Amino acid sequence: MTMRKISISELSRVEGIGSVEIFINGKKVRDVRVKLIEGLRFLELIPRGLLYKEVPGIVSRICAICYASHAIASSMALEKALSIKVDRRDKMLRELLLYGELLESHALHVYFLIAPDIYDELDFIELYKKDKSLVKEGFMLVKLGNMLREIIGGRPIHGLNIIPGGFVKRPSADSIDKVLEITENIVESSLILERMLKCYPEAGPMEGSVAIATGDHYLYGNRLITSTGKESKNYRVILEEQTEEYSHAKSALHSGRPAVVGAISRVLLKEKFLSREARELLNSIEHDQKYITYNVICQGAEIVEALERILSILKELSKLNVETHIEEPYPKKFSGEGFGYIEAPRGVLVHHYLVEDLILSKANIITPTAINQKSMERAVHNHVETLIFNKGSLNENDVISCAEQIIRAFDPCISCSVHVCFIK
Amino acid sequence: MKLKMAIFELTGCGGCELTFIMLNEKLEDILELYDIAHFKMISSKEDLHKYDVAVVAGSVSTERDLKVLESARKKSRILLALGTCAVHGGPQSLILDEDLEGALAEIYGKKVPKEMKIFAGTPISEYVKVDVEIPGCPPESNDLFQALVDLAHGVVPYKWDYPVCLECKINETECVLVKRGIPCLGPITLGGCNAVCINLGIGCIGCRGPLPEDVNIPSEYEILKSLGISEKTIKRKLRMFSKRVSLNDHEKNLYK
Repeated sequence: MTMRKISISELSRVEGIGSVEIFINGKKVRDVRVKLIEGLRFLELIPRGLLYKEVPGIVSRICAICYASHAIASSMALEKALSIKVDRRDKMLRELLLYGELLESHALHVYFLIAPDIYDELDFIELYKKDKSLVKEGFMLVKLGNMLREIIGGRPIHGLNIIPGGFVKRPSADSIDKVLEITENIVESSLILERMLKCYPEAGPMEGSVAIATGDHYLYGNRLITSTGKESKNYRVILEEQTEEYSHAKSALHSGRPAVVGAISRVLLKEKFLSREARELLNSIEHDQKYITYNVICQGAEIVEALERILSILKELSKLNVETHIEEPYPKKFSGEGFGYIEAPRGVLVHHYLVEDLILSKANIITPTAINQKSMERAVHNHVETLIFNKGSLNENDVISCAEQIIRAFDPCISCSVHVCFIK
Repeated sequence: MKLKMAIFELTGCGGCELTFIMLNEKLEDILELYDIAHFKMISSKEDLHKYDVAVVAGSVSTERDLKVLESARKKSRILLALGTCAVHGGPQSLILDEDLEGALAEIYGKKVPKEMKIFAGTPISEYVKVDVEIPGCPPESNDLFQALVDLAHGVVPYKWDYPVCLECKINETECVLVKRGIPCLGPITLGGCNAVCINLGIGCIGCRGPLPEDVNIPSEYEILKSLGISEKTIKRKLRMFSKRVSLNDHEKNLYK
């Protein structure tokens, strides 16, 4: 029997440039290749030679959607390398910023990229012509997330306020109060979110993938944990590098198996951290956890979670006296090595640095989408094989549209993924 | 009749495209003037015919980027370069053609991807004629909005031509470079950002790229040197966002 090849030359409604090839022989899928083919940005090489505190502002250029996660992971790695202390108020502001970014990134994905799949439209602009309220809700949430990225991070995209030790300047009491008021209004309003997610179909079985998340806190931690019960403070114990000549992103495996990171892994491994409101949303939607599409349901729950957490942190901050001026934190050591682990909106993000005499000498960054690459292939593989089994024959367009939907459910960020660089 | 706009993504962080989406309510005004015929990041629509305006974000970093750019140029009446990567090459342009092999070996080891030809990051104007440039990392959302409105009305969009320094003068901000000895690229960097980073108390890192003309790089170089910064670090800082900053001597291996 001859080998059949089905390809998607460029994925739509995902961030960055990627293509897919599916090889089918009779009733068997022989191979699936997800090719992340965006050009390289070399952002592990470029910041070498810079003063340590200039590094977060440059490496955050890896990704606009989650720039603050990169800048914070970078700062945390530098703090460990150089023994820099962070004030309690700045830790709170960081957490607030991470929840703001989670809200912005998830709302962008769920309302603008996924919703057209649910309502069978080509994009949110077409959707807007039929249902203004849904798109407006999306904009309202993205805007709140961006407001937090602006007042705490310094700009909605690529702000330079995040540095090792905390921030250059803290947000003013006025700006905190203003965002608090907006958040209160949103939390009190009822969202269409849950109704929409109930209509989202299951696809992409995840058999064989290992969920990985950070331990300790919901959005960060000093160790990585897995659904197979492993845990380690050293990411190299959990993640193994793998190169494919067809992709610009290196992928990562766990014990030889594909790994999955993101909202789905956080919820599966760390549900106990979630608020009552977020768990209620999860419980109200019947969606099998073994499908990757459950990731989108988990993102929905995290949108609710983010709103709750943003509200409570803002309330706490508004009671504290948070003066905007900060003494510049000084490093106790001039050289060292450090890891920073963050749950970026799309999953585990690792920054690993070596600093010599306050100058960055080596950087190693692992992004969530690079880790998910192999699981994407696995999910498409399993799904197409089930399609063949159920239908007997294959319609090429069906395969293409479901493969695209499955990959979209991972919320890939290809711009991020092409920076993976394991330096031995 | 609405104009037809297409948005093409080359190699970048997605921030320029995000700036477009984050026009929020103003996006409605843009959609009154334009039909979006092609925008992969947000749409599964495929209209690959002629466009009135093609917006290109990102640098040319692969064979695919070049093909997309050339086709965008052929099919459009006006080509707009959006963001510092498209206009100046962006951070990735620090790696030059002659550095490429070494840089790739450092990332991938012996197994370098063979899917397509990989280029050193290059501004799009090195390959095609560009009609409008809006630099910035990210570009200012108002600049993008105003340029699109202007183009729809047949007006040539406003072009910033003064340095970030001027904005500090207008804001009455004390000079961080001269008074506090903080490295700042404000004197050579294109204004239009309201000196947002200097307002925080940090020096400008040059994300909007150099001024179009009359930019005194040697003088900036000397000032930074007098602050005790090493030559190599200064060069890297000056070249961080723009391939158009000429350093006069060999710039190879700046990444090492």
